[in-house]
Amino acid sequence: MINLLDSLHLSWKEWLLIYMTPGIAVFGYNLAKTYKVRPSEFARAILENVRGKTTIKEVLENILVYSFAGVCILIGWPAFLVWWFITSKQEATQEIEQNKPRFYCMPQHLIQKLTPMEAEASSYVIDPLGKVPNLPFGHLNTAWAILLSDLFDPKDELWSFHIPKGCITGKYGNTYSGDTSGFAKIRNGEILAEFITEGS
Amino acid sequence: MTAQVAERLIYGDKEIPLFTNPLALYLKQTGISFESPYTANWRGYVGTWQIIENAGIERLYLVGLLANKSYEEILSLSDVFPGYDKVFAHWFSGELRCPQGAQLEYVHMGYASTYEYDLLINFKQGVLVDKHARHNTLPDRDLDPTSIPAFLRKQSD
Repeated sequence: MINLLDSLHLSWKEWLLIYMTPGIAVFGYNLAKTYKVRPSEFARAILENVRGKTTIKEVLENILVYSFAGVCILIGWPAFLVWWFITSKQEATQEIEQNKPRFYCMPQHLIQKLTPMEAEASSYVIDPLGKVPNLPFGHLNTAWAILLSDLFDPKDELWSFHIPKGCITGKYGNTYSGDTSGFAKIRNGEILAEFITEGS
Repeated sequence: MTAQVAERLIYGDKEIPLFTNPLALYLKQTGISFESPYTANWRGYVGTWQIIENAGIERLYLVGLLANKSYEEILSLSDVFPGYDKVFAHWFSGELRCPQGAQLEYVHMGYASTYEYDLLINFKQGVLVDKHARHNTLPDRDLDPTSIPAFLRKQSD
């Protein structure tokens, strides 16, 4: 291997240039990325009104900062790539976590697994004035149908849940003035959907 | 957030404001949403509710609705619940809060204003289970000198 490198007869400057080539690409990519997310003309006009016009000193400072960052990337691009890989992985994980739907129901509120037929058996609402449709879960029948249509995977399970009054739950950690009950769609132990039959 | 327009509750022979939205859970479950016509009505509707007694049991019913499908188009109860002039709110388990008496403090947010009394009515699956009144007072905003750390207190002697 050493013999092969020696046979290339390259000077140290040429070797340095070869080493820095990926760094140039990384720096160019980041420069383009920064340019792409720059403030709009409108935002820049507002900033100019608030801060005042950009002075020559600030322009020189910017040039200095970008130059220094450029040199750092050109020399230390392998470390920069590792850092980049780690932060993008962390950001992706955070995004997945943030985009996860949050339900009223949490694993500790689950009661028992049951079939849709078992769930429907005691779901009919009695009203002496007859102001409820004679369907499972009365006026909430549409919402029930939405949950049922969502149970398409053979691994999907239907569980009943109950959240006692006053428990802190939900996406925003609220407490509710009454009991909350319903059914949840569970797959591989994860809550994927819920249907609330009573709550506030 | 602006103070929000109240729902209405007919209880006995009185119509009183209601600072709870029992329809919210139903709308969320069924994926129905309305357009806000103005900042004091972000939810886009005002419902009229009634507690109706039958054979000694009092139940909560939605008896009127004005909901903005768009800024111009207003829906009624029969548009949202076709074939029904009343809707039994069997999904509602929780507390209705009805402010009563003089307004002690105005808060420019939601239903956060304080009134002399709150009539609190609890329901289980749309059936009234208990009710009571709460007397409200304004929180004392005068500073208690003893609650200030000693090093921040001005030396008087």
